[in-house]
Amino acid sequence: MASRMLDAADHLLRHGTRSIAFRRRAVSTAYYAAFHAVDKLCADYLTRSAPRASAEYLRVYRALDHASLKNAFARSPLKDVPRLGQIGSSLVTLQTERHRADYLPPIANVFTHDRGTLLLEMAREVVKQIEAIKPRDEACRLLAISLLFKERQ
Amino acid sequence: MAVQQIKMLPEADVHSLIDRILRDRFSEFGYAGSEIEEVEDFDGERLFRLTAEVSEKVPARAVMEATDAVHSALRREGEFRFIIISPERPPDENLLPDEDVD
Repeated sequence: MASRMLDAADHLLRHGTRSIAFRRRAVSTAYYAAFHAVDKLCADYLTRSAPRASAEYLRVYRALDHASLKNAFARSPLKDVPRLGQIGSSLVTLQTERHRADYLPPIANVFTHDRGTLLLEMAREVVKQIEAIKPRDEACRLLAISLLFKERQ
Repeated sequence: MAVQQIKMLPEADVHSLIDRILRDRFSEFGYAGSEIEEVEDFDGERLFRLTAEVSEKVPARAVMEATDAVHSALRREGEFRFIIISPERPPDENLLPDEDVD
């Protein structure tokens, strides 16, 4: 899923070289590719062998929201783990740019072609790094627990 | 639990610290300087947008590592605002304008 979404973003950038609308959709799609990769990691870890179409899997998959993702990466323990810190700051960058892509009025030069390409490459790198985290890794447990469960103050 | 000591550094200090890091990390891409702007995020948080003037394309991996280095350096100073780094090459004069600008 994430990989095909990255391909879709790439397609938009290649075929819309003179279109700000295409670039904006590419930036948004690139972020969502990375977001789905995180969703999948969390759901696979917490539900273990639950089928993808099961209610349990869907419930965990849909549990992650955008605001909690940003907040969790800004705090310990995620920000203190070098491997996850870089994923987090890239995800927050992509998320911030996704908001601009989706909600700014139609103005010129919101994203140049270079900028769109860079954000797509960044999303590709983030997806690669997330997919390299194995369920037995401590990073996997940290990510799933920190992203899905709020810390009580 | 350790309590984070949060400071808001003056924009010039933040810029100077980032500039030092980028001069080192983006030198191979023809880094010539940068401009910084503090803006409000979609959820009301303050962040810095930094445009880095370069002559060569900077790979995403280099931007990610530089962003990480910048955040670490700022956190050591007690500064926790988020930084978005955008390398920018001179515009391609052969590029035609967008067809869909209203």
